[in-house]
Amino acid sequence: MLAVITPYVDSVLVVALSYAVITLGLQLTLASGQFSVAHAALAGLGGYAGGLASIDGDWPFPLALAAGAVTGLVAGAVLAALLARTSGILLGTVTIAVGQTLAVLMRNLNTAFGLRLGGSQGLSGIPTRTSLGWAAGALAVALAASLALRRSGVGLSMLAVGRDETVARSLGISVLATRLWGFAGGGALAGLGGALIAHNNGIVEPKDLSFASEPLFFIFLMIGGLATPWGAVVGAVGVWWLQELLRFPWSDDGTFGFLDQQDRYWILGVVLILVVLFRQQGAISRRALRAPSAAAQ
Amino acid sequence: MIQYLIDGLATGSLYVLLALGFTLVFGVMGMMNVAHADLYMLAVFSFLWLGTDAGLGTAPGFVLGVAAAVAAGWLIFVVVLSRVDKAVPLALFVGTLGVSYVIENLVAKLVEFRARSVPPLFATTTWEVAGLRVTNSDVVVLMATLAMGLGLLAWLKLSSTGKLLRAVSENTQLAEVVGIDTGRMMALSVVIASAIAGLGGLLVANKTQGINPFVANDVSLKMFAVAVVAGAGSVGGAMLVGFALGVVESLAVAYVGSTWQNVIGLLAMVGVLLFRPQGLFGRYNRVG
Repeated sequence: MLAVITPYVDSVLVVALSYAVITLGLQLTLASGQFSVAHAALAGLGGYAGGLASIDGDWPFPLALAAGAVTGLVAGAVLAALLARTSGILLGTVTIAVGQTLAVLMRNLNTAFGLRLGGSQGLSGIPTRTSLGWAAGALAVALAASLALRRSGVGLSMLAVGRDETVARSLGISVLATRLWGFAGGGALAGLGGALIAHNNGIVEPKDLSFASEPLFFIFLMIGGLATPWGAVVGAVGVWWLQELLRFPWSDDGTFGFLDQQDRYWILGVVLILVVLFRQQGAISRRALRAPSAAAQ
Repeated sequence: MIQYLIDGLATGSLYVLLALGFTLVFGVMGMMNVAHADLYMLAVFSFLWLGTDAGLGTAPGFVLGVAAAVAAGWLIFVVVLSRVDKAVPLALFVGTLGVSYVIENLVAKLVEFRARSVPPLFATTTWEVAGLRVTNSDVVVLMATLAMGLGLLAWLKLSSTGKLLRAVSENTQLAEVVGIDTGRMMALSVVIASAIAGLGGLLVANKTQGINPFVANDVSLKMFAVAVVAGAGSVGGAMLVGFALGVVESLAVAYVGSTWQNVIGLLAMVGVLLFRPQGLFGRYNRVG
């Protein structure tokens, strides 16, 4: 069984599992009914924090990962508090702006509080410590936390707010508190995933935080299914794997008919459109909570 | 100082032209079309392919470029916008994102991932008035933007079709109840938006004299910012805010440095949403 994991498969899986952690964060935030497009930025901040902890603090790896998660958590909570008056698609749009602003900020900051941030070059020289074991372990923790949260009272209020904010409020559920949970929890997972990625690549760059990096996680989640944490994991691993397949088409001269590796982007676009049109719930869906039966109506 | 103002107004024209269509569709359909700015790019490349490469000439190429943007916009409407569940903003976002991926990367493949220079539509002359430089392409863009923006406003306000469109924008369900063909109005809004984006794109490319397949990545965010600061659905507001953003950016480059140029609009968006979530000129939408 383990013989299947060649160095190549190992390197692809490490990235896929780390991305799955970030996608879990996105799923958590979206599940609380909050449309956020800033998870690449939260993950990037986690990457910076984790990287600095490893380089300057010389912290052990689990603590560096925790630093990433805590940074994501705080950033997510601040974002939620800041944007408390906006919701729906406008919230999504303004989180784009926040993420993009953070990316520009990191590009222009060479040092902060006496720590080297690298400016436009990015923070390089992060020790590469993320192994398949660490990535899988972190994903297991993230998945367990997501699933546990869903079963808690907070998880249930998230479901309610996600379904209908007005009704939830009328039932006495605090929308603001739920949103804080969604953003802070989602931010923590995104930060954790970002720290994993940073310790895999050895570098975090400002462009990792920008809007251009964002669609990836939405693609994973939409294709995997956004109703459950499992969808996030299946989507991230599955789509990342598919992408790798399209990168190395199977014919001898490195092309696949008229397709070459640049083609995977528009193919991904077509897949997205098809998913949105024909299977909006994604690969993994869930039954509605106590759907009204036909007899009862 | 006044020179920067003039440059800023010219840059602002692009934001205005894109935001006009974007906010119109947003108002009428309640949908944000992430691929809207790609129509601008598509019009310019169609102009290059048909007008320059195929040798049809400037004027037919111009018309065909706008036609290509309209056709693409209509196709996006029929295939994606009219079918996606509006109640799921995520589906909309991801669906139009998919459209944007397809358009950008197919065009990029056709031009081998390179930017192209755009031949001028007409001979450029520069006028010097009291020490200020103004080119005739600046003037054309500015005039066309004002004409299209004010024309659209007047049409929405005065014509009977414009009234129907505003009715749908204000309350789709009620509009349907009183017998307005909402589907047709939505298609109409998309077609108008695409035509403005295409026309504007060609005029702006005439000024900047270059185009690349991924230009939408930079422009989209400012288009969102203008539409949101003005208040989604507000056409007149989009005009004011778009010009204002162009001018402020131009002044910022002059006096602060170009580093923060691209963030100004985004910061304005965050600031406005903090204190006036419905936008400067938006209506307040009561929930429930």
